[in-house]
Amino acid sequence: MSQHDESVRCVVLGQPDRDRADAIDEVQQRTTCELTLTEDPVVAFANVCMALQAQAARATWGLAKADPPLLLVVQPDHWSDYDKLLNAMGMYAPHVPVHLWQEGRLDLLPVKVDESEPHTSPPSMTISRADTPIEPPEITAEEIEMLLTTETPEP
Amino acid sequence: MSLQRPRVGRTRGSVLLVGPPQQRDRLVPTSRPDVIAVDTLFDALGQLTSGRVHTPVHTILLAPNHPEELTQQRIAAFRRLDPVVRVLLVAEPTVADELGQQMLDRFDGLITGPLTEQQLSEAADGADERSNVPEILVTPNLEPPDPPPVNPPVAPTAPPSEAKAPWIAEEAVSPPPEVIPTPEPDQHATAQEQLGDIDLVDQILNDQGDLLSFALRLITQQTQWQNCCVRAVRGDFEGPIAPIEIDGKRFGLLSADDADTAELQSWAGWLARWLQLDLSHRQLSSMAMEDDLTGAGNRRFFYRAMQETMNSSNELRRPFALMLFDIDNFKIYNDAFGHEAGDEILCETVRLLRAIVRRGDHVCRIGGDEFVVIFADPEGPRKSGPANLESVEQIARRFQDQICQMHFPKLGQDAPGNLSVSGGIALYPWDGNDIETLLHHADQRALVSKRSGKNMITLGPPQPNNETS
Repeated sequence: MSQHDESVRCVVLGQPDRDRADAIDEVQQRTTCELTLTEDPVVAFANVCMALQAQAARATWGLAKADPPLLLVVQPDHWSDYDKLLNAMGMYAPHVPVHLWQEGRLDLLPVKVDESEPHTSPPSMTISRADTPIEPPEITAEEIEMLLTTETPEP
Repeated sequence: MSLQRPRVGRTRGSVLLVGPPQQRDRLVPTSRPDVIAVDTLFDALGQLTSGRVHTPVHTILLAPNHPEELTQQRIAAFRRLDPVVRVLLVAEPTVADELGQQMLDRFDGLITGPLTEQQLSEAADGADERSNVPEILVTPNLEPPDPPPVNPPVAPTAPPSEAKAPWIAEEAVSPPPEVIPTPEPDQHATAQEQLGDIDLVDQILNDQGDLLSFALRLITQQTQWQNCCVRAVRGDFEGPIAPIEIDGKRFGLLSADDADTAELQSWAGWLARWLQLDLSHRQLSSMAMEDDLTGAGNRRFFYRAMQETMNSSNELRRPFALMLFDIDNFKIYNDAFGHEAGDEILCETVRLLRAIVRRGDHVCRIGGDEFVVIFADPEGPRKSGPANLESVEQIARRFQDQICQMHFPKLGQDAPGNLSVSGGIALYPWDGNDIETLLHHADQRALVSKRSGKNMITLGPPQPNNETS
């Protein structure tokens, strides 16, 4: 597991039974995480979204690094909305690892990562000199319109 | 009970319509581009989180087959993801009648479908104002909604739309109350109905920008004239008119179908004085915030604009940048070529900056030759969001490039080379959460630029442990 300043959020979708306890034990042997337990797939996904939102906010505001959350689904067959949940995870949270606990075994679903996703970390320090060659940026139609506007600029 | 929930004001955005396609088509038939339709709650949560909707979602319309699947926990999840989003339930009237109070309490409102275009427009357009919410609500099992506000009172007749004068400036400033003119007609204006001087003063003080139409309502209320309005020209109108003159210039013509000419003139004079007052205060406001020489925002304006930009940034989680710079060797120019030349440089610098920055950015002069640009434009022609640093850098570079090429007639042929600037850029929130800290970082980076040979703008995130104040 990578180094981080905040512990990983693990959202657990499972009924309060022996299977869930075993699944959590297994996950916690692999990674240190804070648990969020729920018995509703929609709420589970919402919790994943919230963890992602918090992660993005931390990164954007430069507060701390954090690994993405993870989702643990105990006995996937039990949940009628499991397919919808999985589709949503693939579409909106493709970086989030999904662990499945079934028949006493923990499996990790393959993660689809889109490398074109924008990065949210702040840019690195740069210094630009005016006397170095500058590539003039292309002026867009909107900019031309802005420059030609007759509106009095505020203060 | 009230179905309304206090909301933080936010900019216009999208409506997220959630439900199975057939249910959506039945209850919310629309093809509006600002309504994003999704099938499931999962999609709605994903859209709300991932920002795949380009404009912020301000309202969620839930149109489920089975409302009971919208549990308290699920609705609460939406609110935790976006605390200011409005969650409305859309249901058929028969279904709505059967919903219990506990169920209804989960939502910000209930709309019985199918929605009309107007209801949808109000949902889409009116989310900024809490007062708009009850207009689109049907409350079958609830107590009546709160009564509408009674203050300020409204006149029985609305003013005609053409009464609005587009040449009135946008800003307003508070006048001292003792200078408010109290023309003769005003005596019965205050005596008769609730509408009166105080309402006009409020219009000016609160920068509501609608003094003229409010004043026309007052006139209509007091005189009972028909079609009282302000016209730009007489045109085909054959009834009585009276000119409204401000500072000796024709503002417009006050007219009413059944007015007495003498009385109309009296009201035109009364109206002119209110408009004059409004205009004077707008000018005062502008002077209070503007640098006399260059027309840029002054230091007072800078602090106000920064605070507003930071508030907006916090609300929308959108970073912004601050560029501080001064003109290299300005003192030498000033000493060698005189203050007139120095003034020309300052004015041209502001003019150039304003031509380069985006519409929502602010240019301020906070010292002798010290300027600040607040890159506050959220949706400029270039990229927005965290990536807008790229555009800020481009603007800064373009500014540097162009100021080097500027020619100043007052400098003559002996000018020592091209003009240049040295500056620094600080980023909110990475470099600080208050104005002084941000200014400090920008200033430190401007110093780096100076020490590195001038003609340079330095930007970037804070350097660990060596730049904090």
